[in-house]
Amino acid sequence: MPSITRRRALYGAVALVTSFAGCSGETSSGSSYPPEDVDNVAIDPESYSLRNPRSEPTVWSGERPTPGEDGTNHYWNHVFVTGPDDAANVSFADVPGADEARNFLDATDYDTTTVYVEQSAVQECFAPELCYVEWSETEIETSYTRRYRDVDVACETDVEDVVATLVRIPAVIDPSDINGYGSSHGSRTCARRNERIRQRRNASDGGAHP
Amino acid sequence: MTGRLTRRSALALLGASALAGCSATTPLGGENETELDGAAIRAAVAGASPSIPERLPVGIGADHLAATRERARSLIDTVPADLGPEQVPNGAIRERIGRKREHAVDSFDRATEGATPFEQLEAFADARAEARFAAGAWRAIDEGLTREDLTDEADAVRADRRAFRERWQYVGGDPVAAVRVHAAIERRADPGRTDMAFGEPRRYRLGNPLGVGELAEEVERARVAVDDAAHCYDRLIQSADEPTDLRTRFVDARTALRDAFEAEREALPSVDPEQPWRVEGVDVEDTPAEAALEELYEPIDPRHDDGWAETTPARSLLWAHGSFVGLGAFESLRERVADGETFALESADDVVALRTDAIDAVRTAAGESSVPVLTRTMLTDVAGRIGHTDDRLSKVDDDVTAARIRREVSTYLVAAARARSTPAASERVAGALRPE
Repeated sequence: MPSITRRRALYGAVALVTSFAGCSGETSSGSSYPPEDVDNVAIDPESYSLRNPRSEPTVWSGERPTPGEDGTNHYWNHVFVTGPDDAANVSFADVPGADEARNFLDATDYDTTTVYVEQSAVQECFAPELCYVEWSETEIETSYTRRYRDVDVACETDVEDVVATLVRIPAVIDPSDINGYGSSHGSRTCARRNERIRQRRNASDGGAHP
Repeated sequence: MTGRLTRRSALALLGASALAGCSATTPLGGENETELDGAAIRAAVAGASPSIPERLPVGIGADHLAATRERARSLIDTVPADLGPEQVPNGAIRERIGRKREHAVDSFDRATEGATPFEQLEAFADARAEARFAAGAWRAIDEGLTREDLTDEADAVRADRRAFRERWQYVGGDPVAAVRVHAAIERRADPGRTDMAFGEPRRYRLGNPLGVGELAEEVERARVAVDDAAHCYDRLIQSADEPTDLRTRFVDARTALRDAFEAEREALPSVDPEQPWRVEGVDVEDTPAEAALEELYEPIDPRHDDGWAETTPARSLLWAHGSFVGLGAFESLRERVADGETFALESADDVVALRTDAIDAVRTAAGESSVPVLTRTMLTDVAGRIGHTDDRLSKVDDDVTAARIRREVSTYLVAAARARSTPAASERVAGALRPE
């Protein structure tokens, strides 16, 4: 079971995700990197990214979120999709790729899979690339690297987009038990970030089968 | 040692924010809240300090220098200075190319102003590498250059490096001058220092033009390194009346110096490696003396001792020189502390006095050494650190506290101690190289 301290740290991390997005170098929030427990880790999980050039909710379930009274945006709200009924409840902002995102939800096998949607602000010239997702009964954590978008994509370094990432977690998760979220962002390639998890996984396999 | 937040690195992290009005509280010990006259410190560090330009005891040919300068210039000129969204729509890639070009121009200007041909050579090498990154990335965008297109050039560099290493021998006339030149060659001819990594880009994904720039920079750095190494070697041979093979002499000298150094280190009064500043009966906590003793102990700490390298005998002799400089500096400063001196900062005058003493020590050592080749090499570094400290202290607040700048000020103490111990260390090394 995760400790209370770690859980609190993960809570705290949620709001930090946006400020970390797009930084260079290695930043991580809320938990150890790479994760110590390698059982519930999916490396390079199936995912779909939806980019919104406006600072607004991009994926939501039920009513469209409205900005808080203090003017804060809630586009980073997490969304879980556990079955076709949930999927029917999900809406997307009117942006290119929304139809494909809908297809991604519809093509998911919810008997074995949960879709987790995470949204954050990302510099316009960069794209987040999901390296792995880690989960327990109570927590979800993702790890991203960032890559330059293609050279012919017109963008500027002082502009941010919202990027929603739809992640297929290969497990059935009860969202009501999830109370901690975390996310880390780095600039090394996913291959390098994931290599350490693979090594740890091999090491623990070796321990089980001497 | 890896993975542990050392006291030094913690202090360095604190130092990064400590000078510009951040909280004065450090978690690493007590505080000296004595306020100093920041304006007086800023005025003092604006005064002249000695610059000891780096030089080799052989000349650099005017033709060679002109060729590397021309190469740097033409690489810079390959990249438009005003790249815009029409040429490179992605602003992050455009800015990265532009910044590399700016760095190259800065290095080129630094080279042009270099006080010695050797300093110029080094700055042109930087300019070429930086410009080549920008040029490679821009050609990838403009002409479709790929990483694979650089393969032949990299092969040619490797072949030239192999050929040079085959003809390179540890020859020379005067062995001290030869050590200095061969050390410069060792740095440039080492394949491990100028690796050209084909395969997956280090920092960028395949298809990113910056990945082409990255590799082009590595190829250029390797090219300039092997060309400069070969040039320095040829000049060394030309400069000697009767070049003789000095390798055995280098290795024997290194062995003798190492034995002598270890004996002298063992003769030091007992030093706790975790707290090398601790001196019986003297409270140095929070003073520049504490920080200076810690810094001076590091190169002579047996736990960090990795200075013996069969493959680079010339550089290992420079390392030996640095070890003796460090040992002498540590001993002399420790003696002064044992006599009760802590160099505590009571006023801006104390800062100015330590700075003046460091500058005097550098000037004196530069003027009186009987082995100028080795002494100058060390003093280049010492003088550079004084200049760096001046830069940092030029930004202090009006009401800066003694605690906040004690680490900067300790650099003056370190510089003075090292400068004073340099001539004797130079004679030790020269004596081992020129027995009888």
